[in-house]
Amino acid sequence: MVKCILYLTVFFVFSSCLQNNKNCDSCKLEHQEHPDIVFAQNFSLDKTNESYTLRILHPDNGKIIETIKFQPDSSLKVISLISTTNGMLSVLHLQNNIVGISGIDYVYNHQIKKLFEEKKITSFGDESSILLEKIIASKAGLILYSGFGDHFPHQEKLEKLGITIIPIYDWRENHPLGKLEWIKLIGAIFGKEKEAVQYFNQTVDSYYGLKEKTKTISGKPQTIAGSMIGDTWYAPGGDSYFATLLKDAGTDYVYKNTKGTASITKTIEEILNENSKSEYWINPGKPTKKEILTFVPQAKHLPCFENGVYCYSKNGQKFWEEGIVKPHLLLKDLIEIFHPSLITEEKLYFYSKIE
Amino acid sequence: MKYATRYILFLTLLVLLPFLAFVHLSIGQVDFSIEEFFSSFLMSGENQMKDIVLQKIRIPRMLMALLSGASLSLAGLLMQTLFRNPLAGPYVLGINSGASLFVALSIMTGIPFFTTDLSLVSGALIGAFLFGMLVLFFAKIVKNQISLLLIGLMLGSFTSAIVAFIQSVSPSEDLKIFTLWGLGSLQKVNIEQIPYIFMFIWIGITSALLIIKSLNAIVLGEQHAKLLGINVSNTRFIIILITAVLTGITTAFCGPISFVGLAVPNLTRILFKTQQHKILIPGTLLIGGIFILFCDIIIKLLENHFIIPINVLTSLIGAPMVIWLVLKRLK
Amino acid sequence: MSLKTKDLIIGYHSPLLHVEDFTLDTGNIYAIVGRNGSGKSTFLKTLTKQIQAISGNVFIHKKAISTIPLQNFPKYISFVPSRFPDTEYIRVEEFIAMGRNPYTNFFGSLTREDLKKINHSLHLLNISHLKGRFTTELSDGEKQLVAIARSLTQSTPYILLDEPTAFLDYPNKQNVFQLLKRISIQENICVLLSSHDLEQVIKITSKFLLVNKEDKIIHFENSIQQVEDIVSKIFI
Repeated sequence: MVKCILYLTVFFVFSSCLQNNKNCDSCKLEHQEHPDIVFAQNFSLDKTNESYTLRILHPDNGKIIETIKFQPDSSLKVISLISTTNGMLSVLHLQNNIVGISGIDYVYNHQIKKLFEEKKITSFGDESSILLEKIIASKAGLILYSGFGDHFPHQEKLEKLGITIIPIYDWRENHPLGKLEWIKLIGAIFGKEKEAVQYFNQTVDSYYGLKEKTKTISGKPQTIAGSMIGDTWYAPGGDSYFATLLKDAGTDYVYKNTKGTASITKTIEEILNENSKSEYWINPGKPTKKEILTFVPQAKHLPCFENGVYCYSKNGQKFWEEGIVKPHLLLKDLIEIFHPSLITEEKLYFYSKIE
Repeated sequence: MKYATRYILFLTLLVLLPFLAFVHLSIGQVDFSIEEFFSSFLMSGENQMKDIVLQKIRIPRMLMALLSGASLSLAGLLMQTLFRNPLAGPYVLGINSGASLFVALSIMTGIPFFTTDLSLVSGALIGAFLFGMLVLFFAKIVKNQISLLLIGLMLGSFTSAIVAFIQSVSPSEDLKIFTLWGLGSLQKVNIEQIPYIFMFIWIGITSALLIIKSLNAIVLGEQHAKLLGINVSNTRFIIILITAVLTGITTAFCGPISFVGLAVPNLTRILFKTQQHKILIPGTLLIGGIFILFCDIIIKLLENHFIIPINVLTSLIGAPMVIWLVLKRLK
Repeated sequence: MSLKTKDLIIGYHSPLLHVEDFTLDTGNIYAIVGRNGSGKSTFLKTLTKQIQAISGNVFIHKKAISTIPLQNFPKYISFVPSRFPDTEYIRVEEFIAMGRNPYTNFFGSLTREDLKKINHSLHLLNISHLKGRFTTELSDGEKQLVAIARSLTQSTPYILLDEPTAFLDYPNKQNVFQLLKRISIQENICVLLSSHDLEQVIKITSKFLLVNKEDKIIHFENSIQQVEDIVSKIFI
């Protein structure tokens, strides 16, 4: 379990992927095959009459790992074990379909919180310790969980009982809009495909609108991201969704040229050596400088530690839940941090400056 | 003749230690020329970044390697002397587990007592001391050394179970802190903290040197020590106290580092072939420092490929060493 | 110079044996005999302050031993336990030097005086050749001599030995008894030993403490004739 948490942290903090070998040619190829899916690479969705065929693709090699057929059902009850699917369900106003979550501590949406207080939603805990009978008792027809390459516990038994189990690989997408695109799957499941597509397209427009603004800037400040876990510094890989965000926000991510979507690892010496010119440090993973220093005492030697540290940690639940469905606000925050003159809005939505 | 060997050994260790310390300092991802190295060492380097790397990163890590190795090894020596058992050590007897339990409590529960800035340190110290007293209590009841070791191991299992339980009901953030602490790290210490750690360890070493006479007698067993006029129960208490300070302070800052306390004193005894603590204590301190320094050099050399936690490496080297010791004893 | 007991009752927690009052004088050898488990060790341990008497007192030079501080006590009585410690890496001379513990300074450093005493003991027991060897390498007979040497080095007027010949073969037994006899006279030391080697003991002493388990009494006897009678009764 501990390992799992570490694993989760390493990947969630930076939301990057392990060795995603796909290059852009194959992306294009897939787009042609499945014209409805534009950015996401880890699933495909085909519609025939009223039923859908979902294919979950392996993030490393693009092979089909699961094929799931389903028909839209607006009254389907769902156990949603991850923040990102909670966010998508909320955007589509499907909170009332939720019967189970992993834990209330991770929830941001007020409606879900209210339903939890009314005992209409129960907490199922970590998937490793999930109770089989509790799932059956909840009458859920669908379980959404974070795909780690493992099967869901009791998967076979649950499927025999007619419960659909879908692993969500949004966290291994390499574009923020690819992460968001999983909302189309959620929409399709509950018969809200139209709304989902509409939301997606709007967000894409907002995102590109913001990105356009950065074309006018002259200088790109150098930026470092990530933090230390144990003795290792994990930073988003050059092809990761976060590197994409940093690039789109008009900054010079110091490890932009590294390969893959996987987190890259660095020793503290390398970090200090390569970041003497970095002006910003994004996502140290802690809400205060004091806490950062207890984890990474050497951080104070980074020149940008003085005045350039930003993180989402003060709004942790908001970031995990809404970050996926509001990538344009993520981008807005970053642009505002790096180029305050470009954004008139005053308040950062997810981020805050670490003092 | 035997004194000559002893001098040669000490001389070798005294040369080896600074040599390895220098090697340790010179390894890293940032390249230093010899001139840069020395100017940075004297804080007069032109390259500010290199000064920081050497002064704030490499030097504290090197010092922490020396300090943790020396203090854990001395703690192990004292345990082995007290229990007259070469397989005793803070780890085997569950003293580490005590420190771990209290660190777990301090990190993962909201008990106000534990939520100070010094929570880790005080937690580790208290835990180490309480478990030391517990082991001492059991040692009085069971005369058989194997039983005592088994009780120590059971204490360890019991506390790991409690720790696992605390973990299972803790928020993931706290869990992460504890898990990372459990892997052990020599890099979490600031250069500013080193003097305090050194002070604690120095107190431990000095106290140990002050009870040399008792230690030399206690090696022969409780009965002999008493017959020679040693106040055995006082000495035992002092030994547990010193061990708790040494184990607690190192464990608090570096996490649990296993097998050092077990392997190093044995190695020292085999090398110096004596039970005279005026030889064993400095010998253990030197070899302990060298041992961890050596382990960390290996870690540094492999750092570009993968990062091995210090506790993993000491176990990888220490555990086979202990098996070898047991086999050697059976011969 | 004498060791006296007064109304002594010994035992672990509960009374085991009553000890008739007696006096031990320096320059003599005394033997305490009795069956296995009759309480000889308990008696010796009481005299050496390893366990407390149930009631009564032991006096050394008119001082009750309970009033003598622990760190000074080893200057009065030394004790040779039946088992030799099996600790590794202790050299013979280091082991013997520990007899000087009650006299050395805080750090246990040896003075010239101490070294002289050590060499004297080695010489007295004819074991100078064992110098430099580890105690774990010695034979049982050699170990016993080394243990006695340590007691001698302690420079006490009284040396008590618990079954000093229990693990020894015949020649070694003889040797140990003869040496004890010699040092008691030469050094004017009082030796009290427990043994059930009656045949051997009778050769070196006529002063006996007899443990009579039936009457729960330790009883002093110094006529050989009486001893033989009582001993035959005790051992049957």
